[in-house]
Amino acid sequence: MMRNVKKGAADLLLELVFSTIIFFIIVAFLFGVKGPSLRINANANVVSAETSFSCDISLANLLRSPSPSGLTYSEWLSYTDANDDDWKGNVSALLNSVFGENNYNLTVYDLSQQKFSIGKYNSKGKVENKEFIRCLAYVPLKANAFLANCNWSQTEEGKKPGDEISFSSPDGFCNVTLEGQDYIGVASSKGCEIVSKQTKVKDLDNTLDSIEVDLTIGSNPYTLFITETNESKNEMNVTLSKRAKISECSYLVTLTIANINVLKEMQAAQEGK
Amino acid sequence: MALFKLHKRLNKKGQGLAFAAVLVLVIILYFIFKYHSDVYEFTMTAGEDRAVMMSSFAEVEKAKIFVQDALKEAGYATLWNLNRTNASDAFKQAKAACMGEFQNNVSALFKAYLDKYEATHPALYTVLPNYKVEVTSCSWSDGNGKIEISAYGFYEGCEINLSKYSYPAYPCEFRDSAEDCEAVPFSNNTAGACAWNGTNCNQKISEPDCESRTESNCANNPYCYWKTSYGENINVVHFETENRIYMLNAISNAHVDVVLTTSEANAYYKAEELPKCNLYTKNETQDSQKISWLVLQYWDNLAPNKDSTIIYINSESHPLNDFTEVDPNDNQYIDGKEYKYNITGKQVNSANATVVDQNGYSGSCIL
Repeated sequence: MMRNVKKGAADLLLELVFSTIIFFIIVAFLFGVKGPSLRINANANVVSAETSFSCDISLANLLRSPSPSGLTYSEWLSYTDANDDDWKGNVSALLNSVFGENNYNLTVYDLSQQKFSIGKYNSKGKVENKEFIRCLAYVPLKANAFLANCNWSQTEEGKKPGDEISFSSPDGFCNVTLEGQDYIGVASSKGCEIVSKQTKVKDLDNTLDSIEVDLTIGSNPYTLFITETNESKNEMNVTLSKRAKISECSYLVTLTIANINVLKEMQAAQEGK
Repeated sequence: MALFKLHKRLNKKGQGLAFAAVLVLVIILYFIFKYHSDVYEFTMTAGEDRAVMMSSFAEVEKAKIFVQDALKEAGYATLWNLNRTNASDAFKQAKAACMGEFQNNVSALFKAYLDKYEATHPALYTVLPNYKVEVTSCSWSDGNGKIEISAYGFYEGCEINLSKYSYPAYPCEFRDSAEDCEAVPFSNNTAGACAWNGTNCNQKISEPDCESRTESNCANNPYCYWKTSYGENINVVHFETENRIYMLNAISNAHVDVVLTTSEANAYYKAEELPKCNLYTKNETQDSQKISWLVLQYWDNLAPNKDSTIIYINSESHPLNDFTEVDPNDNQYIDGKEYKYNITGKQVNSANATVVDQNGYSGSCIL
């Protein structure tokens, strides 16, 4: 049963003030605070086939275009000292006329290191919502650099089971010990790490057996070829070869261009603009 | 009601504390709700497949440019190996071995280049054919040389002669009665491609094994012939990576021609410098001690062969392995790299060096 309690005016005023404050806090909470939110950030990376194709075909055309010296630009890069201001000057003039200044970048890499770069992106690219697309091409290195870096191999002839063989590769030393009698393969290695799961095969009678074993020197891939050459004398040829990729064996020429609106360009051409 | 009773029991101080506690709780909830959110991010990529497919056509051109450049490079490198001092003399020497040793050496180097070639995009696969290199002419007069080289996409092998051998128009294996079996015609519409043996339907004339035959025994089988082609193509294949199953194959004739001339060879020779070096002494103070060094500086587009590079100090020979790199933390070879040898307290009357690069090319220098 409820009882009426007589309160003073000050108490009532205090309660009124408290109630009002709590009321406004609840109202502010309801209207001012959003519930736990779920935010989705979606980015669209739209690759324009036209831009991509124009990048590729422009780069291919550039490389096979004759330079003022008579050599094509790719031959000039390959045969002569590519760090040549004439090369850069001519090529940048050509690309400026095609893509416009600050809308492209052409970089030449020599054995994974940047050799030189011409052109630059427009710093306003982000603001203008330009996408940049990169394409690349390979140009042969000079033969001596190619042979030393990409085509290295060393052959040791007339080796017997159990022999230790020392190889001096461009990436360091690698010593391998051949399997003993009854097998063709590698028993152990020093300075290089064996990658292949199968490292030996049974030495069958009356057949010249062989095996290929993949290994790495540092992080560089190599293959060891062990081939039986004389069944009765138990002799083998052992060759270590470097497995280099094209990107390590050539000049890498990259062209980066901004998206171009081909339809707009075509329309402008039709209207004689 | 409970709150009312509680309110009654609390004095003013208690009411104030309760109010403050509620207020703090509300503020905490405010910040929890305001700053708690789950964010999901993803990127949609569109158009890449189509873009790469379009690039297949340019990829063929890139491959062809590489093939042409590699052939020219192989030609000039072979001339350089014949004579490293004079391009004109190299042409003269090449003329003597034009279609023999010269052609073989060009071909071997050219094929080494092509073995490494790959497409420029992981979704593309470039297939270069086997090449046959033919030096078609070598000329030299009055110091001017000219060599013409052709490389053809080449194939030879024993193949089925389809003008003589016809396949069954439909597979024999799936026929389950003599009538169905014998009704299967050949691909040239003549009857009787399959034969019923009572239980199974088999090809009447089994497919000849031509591929394993050599040129000399290819013609022993009447359905085989020896095919020689100089018109093989460069193929660039684009594989669709998602569920759609199709393949785009861009094709171009693989044939390339190059002409080597003395004037171009001179440009090649100019860039193809032999390794160079410089020898000098340098004094340093380290920890209050004076140290004298003999320094070898080396220039080439390849790192030196440290065993073959020999430095003579007062006629005493030292391989470059005895020297330490001035920048020992930098394993990468750069043009102009320096190597030093401690000569503190030693009177150096003379020093000279023979520097050798990874390919055996050499140069020399003196102190």
